[in-house]
Amino acid sequence: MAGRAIQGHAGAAQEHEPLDTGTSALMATPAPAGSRAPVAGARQTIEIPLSGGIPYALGQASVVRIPIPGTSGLAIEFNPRGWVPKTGSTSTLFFQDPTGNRHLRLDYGYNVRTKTIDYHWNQKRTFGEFGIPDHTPAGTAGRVAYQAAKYFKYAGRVLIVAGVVIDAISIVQASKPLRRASQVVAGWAAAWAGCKLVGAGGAALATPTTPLGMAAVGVGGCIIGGIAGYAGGSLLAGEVYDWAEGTFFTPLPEAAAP
Amino acid sequence: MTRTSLFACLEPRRSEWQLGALPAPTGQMMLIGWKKDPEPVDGGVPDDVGHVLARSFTSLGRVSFLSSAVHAPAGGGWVSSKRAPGPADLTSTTDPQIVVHAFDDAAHPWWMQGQVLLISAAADPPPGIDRKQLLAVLENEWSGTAEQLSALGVIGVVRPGVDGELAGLLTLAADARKASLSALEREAHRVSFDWSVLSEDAFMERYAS
Repeated sequence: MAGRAIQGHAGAAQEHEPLDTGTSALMATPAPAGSRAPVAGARQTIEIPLSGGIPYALGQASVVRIPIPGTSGLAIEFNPRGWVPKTGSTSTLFFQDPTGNRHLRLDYGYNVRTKTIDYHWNQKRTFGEFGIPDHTPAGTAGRVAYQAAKYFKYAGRVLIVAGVVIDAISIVQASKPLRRASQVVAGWAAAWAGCKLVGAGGAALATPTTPLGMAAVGVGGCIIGGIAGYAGGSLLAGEVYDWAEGTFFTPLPEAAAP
Repeated sequence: MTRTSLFACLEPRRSEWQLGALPAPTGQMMLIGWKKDPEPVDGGVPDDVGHVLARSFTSLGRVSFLSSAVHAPAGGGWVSSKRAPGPADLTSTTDPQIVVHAFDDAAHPWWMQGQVLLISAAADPPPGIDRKQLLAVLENEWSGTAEQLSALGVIGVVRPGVDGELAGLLTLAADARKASLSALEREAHRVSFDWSVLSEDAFMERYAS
């Protein structure tokens, strides 16, 4: 191809010269391209790995049983145990054992003791842990907690679905779908474990005689533990995957037995 | 010393009891309440009150209720009939020692109005209620199903009221209300409980006092 030139223009910068047909060596070197000012309105592309970890960890706190250490199996929950009518329960926050036989719940409705419709505590067999008798009015703090728990219960489910959908999309879009799938599954498992562990720690820190504080700290701990667990689980799964992918096992040559 | 009172209201009208439309479109509704002094810290039916109610109801006839008991003991009038699909097991008995479990079954929590007791003639087999009817009796507008239950031989339906702090007894036979009152009074006196029939206002006041 030496000595052959094509009529036209060369160079990407503003300055350019026509090629001298037949003598390519005479082509002038184009001036280096200068720095360009960014065009107004141009979008910058930032590569952020897609992950449903945060919505998932936030949402799972509404469905996971958050253990309360030292209470013989009680846990913080947003759903009752046992049969529930179609219209749902009138309680929104529960401290209960796996069967619901022992429970403290934040309820709204007619209170036979006060003869009014109010926010109150109902309990059975948990007086030793919380010191709250049945039908004790929950006051303003109870009203706020009742409403917060009510909306968190539903918002949590939406967040879980959002987190799962985002994670599913991230698997489909990933250059290594199997690696990403490993990260997602490990992230979910570690988020669950982190929620239980840190949530239980938070619940243990709160004074047992203030169940609302215990719920707030326990749920907060569950969320923090869930986010950290998801991040840690995903990271670890990615590392393990990379290690496994880059590791080759060479069979040893067979040797005769001595 | 603990003092216990058992009381009834024969003309309930208020929605606070959470027993559906009152007065009941079919049959006659009666409220059954209890009060202990000193006040117990736990909600639901106290054990001694539960035994009085169980003896009163079984003196009227066979009692069928939701139960999570998996293995029914042999004898003792215990019959377990599973109504597939789902975890709803109806247990039918004339033994008050078994009926008392109806007030403390976490799978069908009395305290969250998840229980129902159907009273029918002791000599007859358990009422052939189907799953749809059973679930309808557990909902707010349960008294509308009462007419169907009456055709199945049910003479009384007991449902927990608000927070399980009282019971609503819907009687479907002509003499069932009178027989219920007699049974409750007799069983209350047997264990030295106070017994009274109150107006609705007095019934409501009794809990608050």
